[in-house]
Amino acid sequence: MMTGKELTYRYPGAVQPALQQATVTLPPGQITALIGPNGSGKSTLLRCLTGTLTPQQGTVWLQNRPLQHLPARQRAQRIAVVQQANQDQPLLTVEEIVRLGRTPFHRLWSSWTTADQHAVEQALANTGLTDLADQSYTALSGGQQQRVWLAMALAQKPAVLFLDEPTTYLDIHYQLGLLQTLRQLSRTQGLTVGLILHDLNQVLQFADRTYCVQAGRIVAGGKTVTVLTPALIRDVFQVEAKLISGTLALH
Amino acid sequence: MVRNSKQRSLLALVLGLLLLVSVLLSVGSGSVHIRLPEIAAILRGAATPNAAVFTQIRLPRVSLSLLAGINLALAGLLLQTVLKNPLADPGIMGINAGAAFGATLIMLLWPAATAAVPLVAFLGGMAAFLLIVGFSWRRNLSPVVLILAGVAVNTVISGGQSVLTTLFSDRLQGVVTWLNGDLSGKTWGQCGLLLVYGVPAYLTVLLLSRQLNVLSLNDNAVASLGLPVRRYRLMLSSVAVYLAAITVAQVGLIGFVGLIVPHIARLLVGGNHRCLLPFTVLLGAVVVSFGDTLARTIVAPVELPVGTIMAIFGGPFFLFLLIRRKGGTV
Repeated sequence: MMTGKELTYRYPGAVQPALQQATVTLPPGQITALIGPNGSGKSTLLRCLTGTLTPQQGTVWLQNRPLQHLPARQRAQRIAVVQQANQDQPLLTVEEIVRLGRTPFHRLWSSWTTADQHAVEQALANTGLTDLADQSYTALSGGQQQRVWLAMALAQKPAVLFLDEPTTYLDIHYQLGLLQTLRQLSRTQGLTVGLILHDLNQVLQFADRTYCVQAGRIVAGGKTVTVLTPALIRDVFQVEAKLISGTLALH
Repeated sequence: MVRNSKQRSLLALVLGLLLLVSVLLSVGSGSVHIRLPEIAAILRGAATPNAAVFTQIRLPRVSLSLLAGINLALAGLLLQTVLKNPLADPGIMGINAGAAFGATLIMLLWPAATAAVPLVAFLGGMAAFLLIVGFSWRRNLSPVVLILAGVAVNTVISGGQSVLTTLFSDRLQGVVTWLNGDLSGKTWGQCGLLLVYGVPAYLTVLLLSRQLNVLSLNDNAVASLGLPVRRYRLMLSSVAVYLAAITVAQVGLIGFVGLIVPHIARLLVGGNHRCLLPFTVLLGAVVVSFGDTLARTIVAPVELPVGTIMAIFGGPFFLFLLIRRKGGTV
């Protein structure tokens, strides 16, 4: 369980806070989506929740402990982040990258354990990369590369997994595949998932809960079906929407 | 690229043999040729005619070339990894120039204090690096800012260097040889000094070697794995500067080793630092000792500075690397 209480963050040198009094709850075993127009503050909210930024006001609670009191290493044992379109081109194999996900569990001299190996193999299996384990990362397609970063995050065995626009640059096949994987992980392993999504229909289809951010404030939050209404979409995105048999028609 | 461990062992064996050949060539060739049977005899303790040349001139020289190769290649690899930039190199970033400037200053202005050259060279290299770090600190030591600051600092120091050499052109003889990378007339004392200075750096690299793979990811990814990015980057690049500066202090400017050796190693064994690190060290030793033999024999009896040989062969090789790699990847 992760909660953010009245989070306010102002970037150094900025006049207006990018995020004001934002309160969110991410229940375990559920997928929580953050939506909002470009520049609304949803990425800032995500960075506060992952611990990348420390909010000037408010507290992020992870399993009843304030996040900012956790040392970076312990935080990384609980929270994993999949970056938006990773530009890294490491000259490593798939498995070598996924193994890096075990970094938070190691001291400088500690040796590789069976628990480490198990976590890596499970992460590879969960992302369908087992057969590609020895492939060079640079030889993979964009969709496969994105799955490598997901596998690295899963190898951290996190309680909470955050993804920043994970579907960007993926074709529709990989987008759905990725979201289905996430849903399965949250259902079967009780993983808490928080992600930024742009496709509102995917939000409707996959997110259990949704928070909508606009101008640094959360304007709606709760169960996706109650949040994602045509009225909200009109107010926030200036787009007319109609719900037709469970799908949003936007125009 | 070599992938499985069997091929890697074979490659290590080949490089080991190459190193042996290179060392034997180096100790054997020069103004006096020392043949293999005589080398064997000297090593057994026999007092052959060339024993003194072998033990007091050739052996310290080749030892120093090996150490210089190891240090420069290691410095280049560390900088390329932690700064995530294929062009990161103690030469390009102005670290070598800073070290050389410090040394030139002493040699030209206070020739009596030549004993202080290594120390001042090290301080000069460190000063150049700290200047660069100072400029890029507020940008979280981002690779781009760091490299650009390095290029700028390099330019300024080179300017200062020109001023010095123009003003004191009458005293230039020894300085120019040293600037071009000079391995001649080296003693066991200098070897020992470089080794003693180097050991703490080697130990640090060994201790942190596992984190090098993590550090080749982008900063956000490193941070989300719980590693303090800035601290590691600063620590490992300081080790690199240290290695480069203590080497420049002893042997002068030998360019391109830090740049090309890690690239060749990467082409051979890939980007996993568990293999890359030992192969870079091995290759660095091979390349510089080979380069020095070439420098001594190619236009014998005249001896070229090894830095000149490295520049002549290293430059085109680097261009070859650039052409061979498609896209912008390292």
